[in-house]
Amino acid sequence: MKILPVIVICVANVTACHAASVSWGAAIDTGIIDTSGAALATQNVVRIGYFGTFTNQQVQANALTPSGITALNSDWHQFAQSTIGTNTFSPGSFSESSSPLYSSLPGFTPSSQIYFWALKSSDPVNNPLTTVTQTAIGYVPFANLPAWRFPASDVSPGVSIDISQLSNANSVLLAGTYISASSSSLNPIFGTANHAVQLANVSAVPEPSSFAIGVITALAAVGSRNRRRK
Amino acid sequence: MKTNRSLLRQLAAITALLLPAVASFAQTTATTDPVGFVTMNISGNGGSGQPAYTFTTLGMTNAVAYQATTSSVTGSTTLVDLNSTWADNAYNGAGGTVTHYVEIVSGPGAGTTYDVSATSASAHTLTLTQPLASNIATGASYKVRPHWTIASVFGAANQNGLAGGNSTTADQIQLFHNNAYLIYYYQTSGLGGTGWRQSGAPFVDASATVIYPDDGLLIARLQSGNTSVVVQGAVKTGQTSIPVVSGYSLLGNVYAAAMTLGTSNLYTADPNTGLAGGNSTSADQVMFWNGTGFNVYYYQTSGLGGIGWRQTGAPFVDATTAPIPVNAALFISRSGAPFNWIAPQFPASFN
Repeated sequence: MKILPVIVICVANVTACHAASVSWGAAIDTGIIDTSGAALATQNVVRIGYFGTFTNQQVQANALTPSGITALNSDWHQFAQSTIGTNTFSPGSFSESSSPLYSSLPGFTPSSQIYFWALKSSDPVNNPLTTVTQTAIGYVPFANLPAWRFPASDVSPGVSIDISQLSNANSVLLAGTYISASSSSLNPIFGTANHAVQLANVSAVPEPSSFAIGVITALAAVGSRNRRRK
Repeated sequence: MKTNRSLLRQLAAITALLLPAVASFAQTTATTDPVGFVTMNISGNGGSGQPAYTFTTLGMTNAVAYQATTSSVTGSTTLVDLNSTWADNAYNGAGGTVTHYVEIVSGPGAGTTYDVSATSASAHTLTLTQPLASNIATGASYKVRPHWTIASVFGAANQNGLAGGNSTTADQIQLFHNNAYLIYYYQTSGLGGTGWRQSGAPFVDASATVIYPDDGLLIARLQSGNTSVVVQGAVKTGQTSIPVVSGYSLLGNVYAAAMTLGTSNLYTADPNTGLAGGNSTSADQVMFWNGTGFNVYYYQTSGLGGIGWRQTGAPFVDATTAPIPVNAALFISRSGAPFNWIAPQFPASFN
């Protein structure tokens, strides 16, 4: 009779009473560091999901600007989100087990490639996307590591992944860098034989059109001042 | 997996070794349950790099710790036995942690099971975490057994056959509880020290996680070679009441003998007590892992092909004898209200 609680839940919603399971984390020997080399602070956001239409090249092209991040997010199909420090209680690490209901993820395609996305934000609790300052996006092709694929159905076996697998020769980091050398900021967490995924800066750059207008305006101002001097 | 005949030979072979231990546990009445072992055969991946999946179950119970008859049933969650000789907290852990369960073994409600959350010597009571079935009568016989745990089945130090590692390299035990797979593994590296862990909780000891006798288990193995885990215990006797929830349940054959779809009593012609019949799309389903996906069976009551057990895609082929072997796990997909699957004892007799 151990499943009485399940019975109660299931009566409420028959179709949603099961879920695909993904365990994911940075909890083996590889942590997450920011551009200064510091372990990524707790409460910063990490996510798994996949991009709907963007190619890898488009993800790469958009990953390092705020407007690009917004565009990526609009194409993002999220399976789960967590925060640094979850279940590990330390910066630069986390461990999470996620079992969302596929029926609660409209438009989500089972069996898709799992992408990992980490964000460093100035306001990670309330506005992790609009205040993002650094990021990393990566994955291991499921052809090389089958666990990096969302379960095919609600009753398909759960999978476990960890960012240490981004050391795989076939892994792809569309933003950020895999650091094989030990990072001193991770020593207290993982010991001295650690590795890291280092975030990359997200910085505002002018749009080409507004940049051109700015240049023309500046040139005009300089010309006008020169004319007045004459 | 052992055939029924070879299994019974094994049971006979070690009964003499285990019976004295069983008798020493029993406070009131010596148990006569047959004892023995079954072997969970777990597939390796042959070096493919892909996880190899084995759906299995324990197929044995722990030896009876206590058995007697109830003096009364006070309230819905209290079992009273005025002749009991148990000590306080004998059948529960600290803080009401569940370590044992009660099975009613006679009369109405036979085969139903209930976790024990408190044991009182002075009041002669067992407090249960689930309400007793309403029709259980005073004088019903009951048995108390320790639960299996991850540590008791697979070894406190993972010495019984699975490979340890980290969350991505160790063999995994996956239980389907509360609407999702819960993943367990033996951690030897990574954050959180050494020991049994649940994925997502690397610092928390999971060795005492209960594996219920009717749980189906999914073992995901990343090692090349096959392995096996031997489960020693008592053979389940008597009928068993197995809760089937709405949605999906991952269940196991609780007996140390095979049954078939036809003999399982999963279909009773009453959707309140068994699976709902229908056609391939409307009937409740029984699903067996075939290595890459699930073979799906249902009880056909309409559509082409007549009436009876069928496999999807073969509406004319009788599947009544499709086996539910020893150690087999099966998913049940139930669209209606929950019910209790009353599985008859297998084998029907031990003579």
